Amino acid sequence: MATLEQQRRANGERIQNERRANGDRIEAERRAIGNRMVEERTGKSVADDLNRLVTPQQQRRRLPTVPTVGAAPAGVGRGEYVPPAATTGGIASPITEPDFAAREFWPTGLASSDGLFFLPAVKKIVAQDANAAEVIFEYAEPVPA
Amino acid sequence: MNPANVPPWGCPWHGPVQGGSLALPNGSNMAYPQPPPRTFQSGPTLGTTNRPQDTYGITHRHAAGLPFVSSSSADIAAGRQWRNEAILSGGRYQVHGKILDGWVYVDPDGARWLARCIAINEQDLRNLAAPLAVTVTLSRFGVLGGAPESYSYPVSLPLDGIGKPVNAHLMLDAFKPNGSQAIIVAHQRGGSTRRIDRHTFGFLELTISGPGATATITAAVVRTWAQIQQMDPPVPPTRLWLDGSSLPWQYYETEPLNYNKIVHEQIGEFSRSSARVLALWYDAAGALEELTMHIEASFTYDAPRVPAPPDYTTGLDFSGSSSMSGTIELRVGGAVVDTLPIAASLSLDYVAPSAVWTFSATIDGVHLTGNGRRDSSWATLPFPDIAYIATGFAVSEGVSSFSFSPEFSSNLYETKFPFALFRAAVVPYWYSRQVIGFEISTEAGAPSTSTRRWRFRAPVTPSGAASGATIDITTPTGPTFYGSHDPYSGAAVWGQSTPVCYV
Repeated sequence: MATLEQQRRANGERIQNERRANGDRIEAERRAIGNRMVEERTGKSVADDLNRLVTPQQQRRRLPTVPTVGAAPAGVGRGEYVPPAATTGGIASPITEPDFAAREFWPTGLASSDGLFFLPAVKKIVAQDANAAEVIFEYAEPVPA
Repeated sequence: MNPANVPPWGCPWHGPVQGGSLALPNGSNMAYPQPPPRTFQSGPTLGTTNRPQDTYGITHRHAAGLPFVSSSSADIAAGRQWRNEAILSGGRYQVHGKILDGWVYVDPDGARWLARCIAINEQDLRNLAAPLAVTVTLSRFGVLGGAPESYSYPVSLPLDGIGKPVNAHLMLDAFKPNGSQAIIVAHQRGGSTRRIDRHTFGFLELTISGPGATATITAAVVRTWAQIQQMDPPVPPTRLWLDGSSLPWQYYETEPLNYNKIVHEQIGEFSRSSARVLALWYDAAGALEELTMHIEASFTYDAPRVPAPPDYTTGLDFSGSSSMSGTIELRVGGAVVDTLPIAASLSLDYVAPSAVWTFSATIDGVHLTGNGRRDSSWATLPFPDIAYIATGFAVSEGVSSFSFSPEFSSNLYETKFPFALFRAAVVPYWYSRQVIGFEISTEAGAPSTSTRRWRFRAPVTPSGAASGATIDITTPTGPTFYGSHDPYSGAAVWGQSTPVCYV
């Protein structure tokens, strides 16, 4: 059984908590009253009430614009030349093929419908850029359907 | 097969070409090179006139995996067909408007090679008594770009294996769809203003195997002379007797200049059949199949021995008759494709000095009938023959008769009376090497006023019987008829008076 001292301490804490709660509630009510008064002055609450009484009209939405099929019309672009960085990266135009014999072809080609004629399919082209740096193009093998 | 995103390419223009105009499947026409014939001298008795001969198509069915035909709605509207086969067209083997003068061999690796052999040229006469050394050249074909490649191979053609040691022309006659085998026909040719006839002695087959750069090429006889013309029985049965002897096909005994002493009789029945290989074709699977002409007929004779009165102008009372019936057929691979019924009968009643005769025959629905009376002495005739039907469907083996006569001439019946003429002949007609049918000629009446007719029945092709109505003409000369077979669709056109060829 709690002692009288303990009982007095508990009663004190309870009373203190109740007072804090009442204070918070009173403060919240005052804030709500203040907000309502602001809305009434600005008419927002009235407009909201009126909007609840009418059915809002749906807004028509426009479909997104799809680009025209086919070649894009000629346009004028603008770019700014950015000089290459002074590093070893990048390919300098023009790219040329110095030796046709170095070109490689896939063993399969693209057959005419009757199978008599074949267009060779390029596998690899060894070229060089304006700085004589080697540029290698490797093409995919035409995979039969 | 190409990747799915690669559109079809090649030559989509296909159909019959006539007069340089290609009839497209959409009903329109376009200008297209007319596949030319191979020209040659027709023969010693025909002068040196070069004549168009063959219009035909040959398929290379080696585009395995490719769609049989690919055509979009736009292609169909434009008359385009992306086919998975090509056609060698005309006597000089044209493909997509380009003359090859050779055929295409597809080696086991799928590489294409243009095969040529200039020694097989239809013009030069070759001695079939000995082998012939020739050269076959394989040149890389169908690759756009790259270095040209060409290889030559010596080949010995065993012409002596044919079994007919005569001089003959060699002609490429058929190709396997992948070009690995080709048929060479040894033949002589004759003809008329309307046609060139083939007198075939045998067939050889050229075989190419292995990659084009290291190929093996051989040649072998596939049909000998004995195999392409068969008679059963080989010799016609004896049917004439001369005073007890049995010498066949003779009309006099001991006094050839005194015909009045000749006494014949002809009684009995016999049947005879004949078969002749007209062409060898490769079917779609590459197997050889024969086109053969068969004749089967039965004969009945009832012409007893003529009594031998002292004077043929008085006291002779004699009657005789004979009849025959049978069929003439075209068979492809042993299956009958066209049948032509034939029948004829002849009777003679002679009570000196008058002779009364009747004759009737039916061939392909054409009736020949006649009768007559002759009041004169038998002595005025070349010889007092009896009534019989001459059966001439036996194949003459003499080179002279082969030179310029139909290959399989069958003069079926002909009266022996000088005051009347009835005869008919059935011969094969080559519209092209793949379009072959019957030509039936008939003649009836007095020798000076006889009526001649020619009928052309719907021919056969490697695809079977062609359609079309029988053509009847009465002019002995022209026109030359042409035809062509589309190995892709099986369609055929024939009876055309100008060259026509599918491409």
